[in-house]
Amino acid sequence: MKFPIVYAVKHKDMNIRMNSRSGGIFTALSDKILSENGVVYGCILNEDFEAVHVRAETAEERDKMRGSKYIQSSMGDTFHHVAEDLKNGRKVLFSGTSCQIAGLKAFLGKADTEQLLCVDIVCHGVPSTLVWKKYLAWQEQEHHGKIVSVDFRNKKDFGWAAHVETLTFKTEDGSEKKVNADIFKRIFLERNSMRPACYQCPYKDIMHPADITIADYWGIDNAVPDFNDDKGVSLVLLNHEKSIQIFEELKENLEYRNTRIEDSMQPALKQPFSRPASRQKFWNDFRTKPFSYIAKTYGTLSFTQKIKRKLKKYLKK
Amino acid sequence: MNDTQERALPVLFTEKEHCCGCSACYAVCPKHAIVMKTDEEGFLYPDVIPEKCIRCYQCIHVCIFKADQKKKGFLN
Ligand SMILES: Cc1cc2nc3c(=O)[nH]c(=O)nc-3n(C[C@H](O)[C@H](O)[C@H](O)COP(=O)(O)OP(=O)(O)OC[C@H]3O[C@@H](n4cnc5c(N)ncnc54)[C@H](O)[C@@H]3O)c2cc1C
Repeated sequence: MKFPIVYAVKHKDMNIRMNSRSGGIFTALSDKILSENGVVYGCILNEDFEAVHVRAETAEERDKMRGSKYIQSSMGDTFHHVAEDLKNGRKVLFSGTSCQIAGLKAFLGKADTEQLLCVDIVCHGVPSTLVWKKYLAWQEQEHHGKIVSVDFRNKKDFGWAAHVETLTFKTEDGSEKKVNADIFKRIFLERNSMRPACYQCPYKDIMHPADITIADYWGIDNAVPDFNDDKGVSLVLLNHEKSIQIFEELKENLEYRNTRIEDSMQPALKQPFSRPASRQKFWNDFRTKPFSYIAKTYGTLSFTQKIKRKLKKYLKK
Repeated sequence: MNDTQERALPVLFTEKEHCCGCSACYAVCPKHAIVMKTDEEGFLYPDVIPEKCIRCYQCIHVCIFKADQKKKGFLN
């Protein structure tokens, strides 16, 4: 196919949608594969708060894959496990970034991939796990507690469009404390912490390596007025004939609208994000200065940025 | 040292911009001669162990990321 078939999608089950990053299309797809005795691969956050790719055979294991982890996921030996599952005749859904999908397909080469369904996420670029871990350690110091869970982007309390990270601590007196912040988000969006290859990503395009591409449906208000309830809408791009039939079979669980790609464009579908001029300085500072300095310099709006933002809001009114 | 080991070691990338860390080269190696190592920024990159490498260059051929970068004009 030269162009994808485009849909705006919301899972009919509100509980699923609230536990997903966008509209819950990943759960709909993976539920189908699991119901056919298939296997699902995707990214979870492990006990050390690192992103890793794992294999799931139950909905419970799969549920941990929901939600975006804004750091690069490591693959471990998952490519081999996929090859083995396919060899054993199992259906496999593999989800990840476009470069992970392209790599898997290249590795599988001429193997029979009839039973493989690949899903890629539209990706801004992947930040460093090291920066993330230093950030968490610093927050633990600041709040005199141990982090027990994290949400990279808390949709339940702040809505789909907002971007607030929530860290849950167990404090010294045994009580639980929640901290909402936007420090890691700012570091992420400034792009200094991104993997160098992301600045030259060849998959920032309308067509992607996977059979199905999923994303946050930014621009939904233009594409389908009155569809957005700030609880999450998925952009779904069907890139391959294989995915058209599968999408048909999911429809009963979904609220969906067929849309136009022209109304669905976002920066990550056009070109890679450029390397910021401050990248080298960021990493020098990261190596030599305490994290409090990084948080203040790269994770907080400066005075002028704050004024600009206020002005923009005021002018919009 | 035998004949194979006199051939050049595979060079998987010359600049970090050209490795996405997908692990295809690590996975394809028939001799487990590639390890994924964390660099000082916390990202994983493949590293070839010279003593284990048989110079079959499958790791070079499997690299789709560089091939796709080339198509887009990001790699000469
Ligand atoms: C690093 C990163 C950058 C992103 N940038 C953009 C962007 O620019 N524009 C945009 O519209 N959306 C972006 N997203 C969000 C992504 O598009 C959503 O994950 C997608 O919309 C899925 O929504 P869902 O409700 O169907 O799935 P959910 O049920 O929330 O499923 C999450 C899916 O994402 C995968 N996943 C989560 N974290 C990672 C990771 N670190 N590496 C690989 N796979 C992961 C899981 O395996 C699973 O398939 C980004 C996500 C990540 C992790």
